[in-house]
Amino acid sequence: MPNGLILRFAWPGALLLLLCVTGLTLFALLRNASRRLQGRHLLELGSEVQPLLGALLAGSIEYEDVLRQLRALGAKSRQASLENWLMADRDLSAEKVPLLRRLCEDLGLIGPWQGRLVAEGSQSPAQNRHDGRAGGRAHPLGFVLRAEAAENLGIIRHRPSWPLLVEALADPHATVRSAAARALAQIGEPESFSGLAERLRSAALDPVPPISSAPLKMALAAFPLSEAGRLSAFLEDPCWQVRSLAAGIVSAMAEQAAAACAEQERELPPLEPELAEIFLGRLAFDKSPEVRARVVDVAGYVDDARCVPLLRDLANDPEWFVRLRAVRALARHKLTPSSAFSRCLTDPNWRVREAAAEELCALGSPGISTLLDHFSTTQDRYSREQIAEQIGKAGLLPSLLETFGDPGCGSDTSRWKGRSASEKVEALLTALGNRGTRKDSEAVGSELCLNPDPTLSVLSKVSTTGT
Amino acid sequence: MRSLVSSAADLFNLLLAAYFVIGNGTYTVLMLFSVVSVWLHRRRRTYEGLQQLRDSPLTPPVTIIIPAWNEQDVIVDSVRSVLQTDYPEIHICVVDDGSSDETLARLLTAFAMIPAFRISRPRLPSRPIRCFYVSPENPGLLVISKERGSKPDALNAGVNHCRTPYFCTLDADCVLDHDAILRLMRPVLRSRVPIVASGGVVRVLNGCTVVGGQVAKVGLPRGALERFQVVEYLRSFFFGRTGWNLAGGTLIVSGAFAMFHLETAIEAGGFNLDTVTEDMELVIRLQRWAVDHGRKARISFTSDPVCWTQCPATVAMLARQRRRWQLGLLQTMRKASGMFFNPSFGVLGFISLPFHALVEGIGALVEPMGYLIIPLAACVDPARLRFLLPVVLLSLAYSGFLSVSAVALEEVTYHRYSSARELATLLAYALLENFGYRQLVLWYRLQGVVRFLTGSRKWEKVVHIAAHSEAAS
Repeated sequence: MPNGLILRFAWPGALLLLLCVTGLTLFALLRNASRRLQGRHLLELGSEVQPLLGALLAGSIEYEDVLRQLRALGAKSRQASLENWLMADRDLSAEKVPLLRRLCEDLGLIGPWQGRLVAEGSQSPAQNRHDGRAGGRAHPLGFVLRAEAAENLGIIRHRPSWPLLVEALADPHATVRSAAARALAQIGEPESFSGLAERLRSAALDPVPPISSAPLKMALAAFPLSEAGRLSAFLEDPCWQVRSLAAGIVSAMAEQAAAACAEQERELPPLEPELAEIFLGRLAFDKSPEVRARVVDVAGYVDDARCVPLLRDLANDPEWFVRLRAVRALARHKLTPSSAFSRCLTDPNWRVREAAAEELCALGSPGISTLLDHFSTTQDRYSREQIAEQIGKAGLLPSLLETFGDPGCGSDTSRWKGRSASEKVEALLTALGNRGTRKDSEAVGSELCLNPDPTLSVLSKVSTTGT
Repeated sequence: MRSLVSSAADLFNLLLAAYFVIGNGTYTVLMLFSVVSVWLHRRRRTYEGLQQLRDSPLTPPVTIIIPAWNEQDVIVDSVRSVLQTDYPEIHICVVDDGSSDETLARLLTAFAMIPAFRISRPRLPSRPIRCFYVSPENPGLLVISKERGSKPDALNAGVNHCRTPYFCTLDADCVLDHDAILRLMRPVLRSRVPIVASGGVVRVLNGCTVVGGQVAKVGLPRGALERFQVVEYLRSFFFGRTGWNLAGGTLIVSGAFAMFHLETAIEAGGFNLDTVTEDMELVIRLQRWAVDHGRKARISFTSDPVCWTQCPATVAMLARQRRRWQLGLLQTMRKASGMFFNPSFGVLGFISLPFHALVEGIGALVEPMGYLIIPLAACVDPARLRFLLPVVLLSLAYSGFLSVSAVALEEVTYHRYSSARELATLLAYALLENFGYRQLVLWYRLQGVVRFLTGSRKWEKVVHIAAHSEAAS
């Protein structure tokens, strides 16, 4: 029986498969030929469009001339290709965007993009049928076109499209929703902020949210810090997940604003009083460590008299990751290193010790001084080990090794010769930390004095004091 | 004797038919899934928002861990390739696993590295560390020199010194596309369910032109053995992995290029030292860990982050690689035996694991039986050929169909092998694969099964000598 079955199906099956193989082979070859032909057309079009766009963006050709020439090229059949070329550069500088936007408007591309975005997206098939759209049936791959349209509107920062993009946040397809969120972030229309923020609760609480928290967070964080006040309601939400997500967004906004201010060498404007009160007065004492950690991040950027004392307190938080962020945030205020740093250098969690050592080093001379003082006085083995690592990370050990590896230095270098690099490092650190013999420490101190590196001189003092 | 052979032939026919239906039926479904998935993903690349990921302060930093043992010919190019990667914040940790050649020396010279002191806080088991090296020119580069262990041991050492929330494992012979890490991170940040491991596509580097650590021109290798592997990689990554990913039964993300969530990987126990395919073992263990701890976790596979790897150019190296893969597969299946048909694991437990064990694992025994029984049956009872031949032909035709489909899908979607000549060559090799190459690979898989049965745990090293420099022409 099985053999009969095999005989019945195997031959036709094999023949069918062979036919499929032949068909697929031909299809692949034809597709390759057509793609190369299409590629040639695209290249031809590109050779016409690109110089025009280049000249326009460089300001060496009149806008009207470019528009006329592009209109002549953009017959309907070539419109998609023209779109490709226009939208090819997705990393446009701010000054080029208005030109491209005007070009897209004048070439009549915006209307079709907006049309695609609303054609099938935000309505159910039943509604579509009722409206007589697309024969009452959504294109199965319509979401690809809708997402592309949202992306394009975002690239050219087309402000009037923001209501459509907010509508697209309720699109049946997740891809379109994410693309719309990104586009809204690029456009940065303040009115659209609430539309995005409305999705925060579901992003934080739903097991499978309509828009996942990361893209939503990225989109909202792209808005200026001045918009952060609109998140107040979420910052006081009864669910800690929502408070944490909202606080994380404000923290990212503050980080971006601080980076922009630093670039332009100006001060970061203070938080709105109401928002500052929420963060520094209430959320700083939130039950959830996740929320406190976000508060710490914000307090690291904001210029408010309450920030530093608060951060010093939070450097003693029961949760290690709050302490870790507190020490990093304290360093951002660039104040004289305080006892909070020294305390963190002996923290039971190595990540906090590591952060404290790194931040002290990053503070420059006063920080390094504190670090080395702590190194020579503390009895905490782990703390010393951490500082030793930081000395290495800061690039001091190579100079030390060089100094001791150079026979011309005048000291007793023979003792160093037979040792491996790691042994040398260990010996040096032992000597510096006053754990070695007097002879070792003296040798190290005198060697360091000879070195022109000012940081090594600090080490030399530590070493000499130790002896 | 005659009746014995006839009965064996009948039984084998049945076995082969069942194997054919289960194996190829699954492959057909995977293929259909993959065609849709890859095509859609290709379309989505036009609105992927990579720029937003690049600019956002919320994009997490990543550490690339490169385990290296006797990789003197390729290691410097690989590190250069990673240094050029387009990603906001990247750290590189090369773990020299006690190389006896010039791997470490070349790294130290090429990147002007100097010894440094680092505290070891082992959270995962690994052999003792000899020394750390840092590069003042490339502050993100750390080299760890440790005593000889194994690849998973070296990976664990790298994980112990990782300070970023995600790490990416990369083989020492690999070259990354410039935005590969960004593309690998994208699903992690976009997913609505936490992703604990994310894998990308591995393609064959042989035949490509590498300039300054980047693949400048994609080409086909000259050797037939390597060309067969190009087809094999396309089939494996486009059909197998993409299909399983869509079905929710991902079992493998290639350790040659995979991203993991640091804390989850550590909590799950890191890379296992007992298997020779530590990547597959970790992916399965991560899923078991998630179920055991009631956590939501997903494994993601994406078809556009590309890592180019040097495939074996000689039969001897191919043999080592395939024996190891087969041995590792069986070792991992044995370790995962508690997950088979366990409802908690869904598609993974009910379909993916049994399929891999039956078709990919034990299947290595079924096919060779055919090569023995068919000629024997033909000699003893020529009439049997009437039943056996169509099955064999069907099997070969289907195998050819899958390979040709993979090449066609590559042409429709990413078309990295762009010339008509290259495409025609690939199609020809997709058809020829069944005549010689398949049997050769089968022979090595069989050896892998034997090693598993004899309890071998030997890691067979595939040496990439000169092949990379040939690629870097």
